[in-house]
Amino acid sequence: MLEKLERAVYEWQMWADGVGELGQQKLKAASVLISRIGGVGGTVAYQLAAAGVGKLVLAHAGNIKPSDLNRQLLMNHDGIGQSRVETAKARLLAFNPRLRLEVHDENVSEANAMGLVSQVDIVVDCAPLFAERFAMNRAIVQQGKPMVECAMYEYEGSLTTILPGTTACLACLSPSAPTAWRREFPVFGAVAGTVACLAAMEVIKLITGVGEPMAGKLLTMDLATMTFSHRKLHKNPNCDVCN
Amino acid sequence: MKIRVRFDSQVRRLAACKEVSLEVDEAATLEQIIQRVAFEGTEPLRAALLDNERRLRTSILVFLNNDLVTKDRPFVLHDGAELTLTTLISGG
Repeated sequence: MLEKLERAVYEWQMWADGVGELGQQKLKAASVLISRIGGVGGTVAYQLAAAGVGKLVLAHAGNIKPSDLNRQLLMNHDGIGQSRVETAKARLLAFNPRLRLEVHDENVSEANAMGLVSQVDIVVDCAPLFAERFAMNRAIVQQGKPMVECAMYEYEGSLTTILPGTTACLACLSPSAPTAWRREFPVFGAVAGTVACLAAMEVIKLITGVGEPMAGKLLTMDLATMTFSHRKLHKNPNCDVCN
Repeated sequence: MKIRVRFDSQVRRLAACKEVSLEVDEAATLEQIIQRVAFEGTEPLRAALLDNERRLRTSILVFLNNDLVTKDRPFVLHDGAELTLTTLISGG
């Protein structure tokens, strides 16, 4: 059930076709894990907190650095040197005090992925390292939970929604990390934020049942030229993870 | 027949160009096309596309007219086809 204040806060989005009070109740009852809360994940968390998702689990190790502050909107200048997840927690709860929030000052790894994924309904993967993404992929496939897979580089973004058993998993597409990938990458906050808002919308669609998720399709975008493509994906019958 | 090979994302940076046009035989296989693109391209492109045994790296995604090419599905080229070589990205 929604409380009176919740009805007032979410009134305008409950007017959206297919949402209504039932859709808002589904959002309130849902839980989402976000792997890393940097330029992409932080904005995903902010948008899901705004939409009234009931519980967020955030995983991101380390303290705020000056170089985070061109894109990581949950952080702030006064927080430099302090814990990212604790700063994010304060920002999110100030925005939505009804949010149930669990933060982990650690990145996703093979050691913790299964446990983190087991706590939620849906996962959003925003990690900068393929090792973290592959660990998360194995966990969601094993537990049969959907994962919104989103990423960016420079002016480019990509997004797909993985539905275990139905769509290609991450390892179907790339069983190993691309040789050219580097941990540090060129990034504008607006590019990361664009990808993040699309990812948050995927989560909202998965929870409410509105629209069509990007399942079995890869959205690629080049914001330098405003070129968007839909590409069709297929499962790899020889995939070590999902077959 | 003529096809277009587009380079996206990290592959585009290594190729130092957005695309190339190729005249290929109708029966050309994906492997033949990749080998040609790799050896006519830059050294970084070749290293990104091919492993030490000159096989296409598993981290390279190939799309034929925006449809992912997989080994279990037929690879049929038509005149004017667009092949895209790219990789996943991971920035968050």
